Amino acid sequence: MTDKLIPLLKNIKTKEPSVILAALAVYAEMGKRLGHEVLASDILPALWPMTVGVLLNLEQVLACLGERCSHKVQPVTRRYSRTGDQSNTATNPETPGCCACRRCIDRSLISVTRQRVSWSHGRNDLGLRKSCPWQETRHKSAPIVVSPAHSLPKPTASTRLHKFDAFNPNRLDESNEPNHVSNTATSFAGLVLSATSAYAVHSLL
Amino acid sequence: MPLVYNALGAGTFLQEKALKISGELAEHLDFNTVKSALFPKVANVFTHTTTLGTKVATLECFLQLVPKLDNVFPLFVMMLKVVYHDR
Repeated sequence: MTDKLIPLLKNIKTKEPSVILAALAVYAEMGKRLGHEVLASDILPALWPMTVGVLLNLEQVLACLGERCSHKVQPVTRRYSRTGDQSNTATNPETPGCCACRRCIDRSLISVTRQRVSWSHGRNDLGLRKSCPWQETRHKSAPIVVSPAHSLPKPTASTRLHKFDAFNPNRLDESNEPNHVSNTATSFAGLVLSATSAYAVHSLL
Repeated sequence: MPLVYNALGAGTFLQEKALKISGELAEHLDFNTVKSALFPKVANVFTHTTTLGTKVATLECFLQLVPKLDNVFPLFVMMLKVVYHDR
């Protein structure tokens, strides 16, 4: 059934908030029931276009969704990363994984989104500028995320373990502290974070 | 049910009413009816309508249909868990 319903929801071209909110509710309901595989490959990518150009309110919903998704995905990734550590990463610890793949970028963006939302909660006095830093985040993150992608090995079927390796919750936590940056995904997140915080300070002045 | 199905093919006002009703009716229908009869009709309305209210009504109807359509998945998820747990 999800084979039919997901394409239907993906094909929504209306940018009307009421439609998008209703679609989000359906996605949320589906997210509770579907497996992590479908969640990561079909639902999360479909959510990102919705974040562009609409209200911050929507992004909060998305952040909540992402958080809930991460609860579902993280146990699996932990398991995957453990096996990855034993088999592949142990022999070659410098392997950055396939951090250029769409999902990893999504993951790092989610952590950034979460922090952005919490940050804007703290500074309500920004008022209308609230949505601006987010736009800037997207613009700034684009070159940062995309440019190292060329230097990385192309994601293949054999790097499947690494793919989930980048979902490791520890690394997501590390993105708060640039000192611990040991992995390309976290460095992406750190760069994006520093860029956004720089912009935030700039917009306050 | 034919009454509801016919209403789904009628004018905008009737469509919205039928969508609201079909969401509630879905709880009392079995999986096969929802899957093969109701869901395709609602999906058809969803793709062809240009009215905002109808669009939202279809989405709300989907929201109520999802738990019903989900019947196959708990078993599937359980199987997945077992498979992953054994690794």
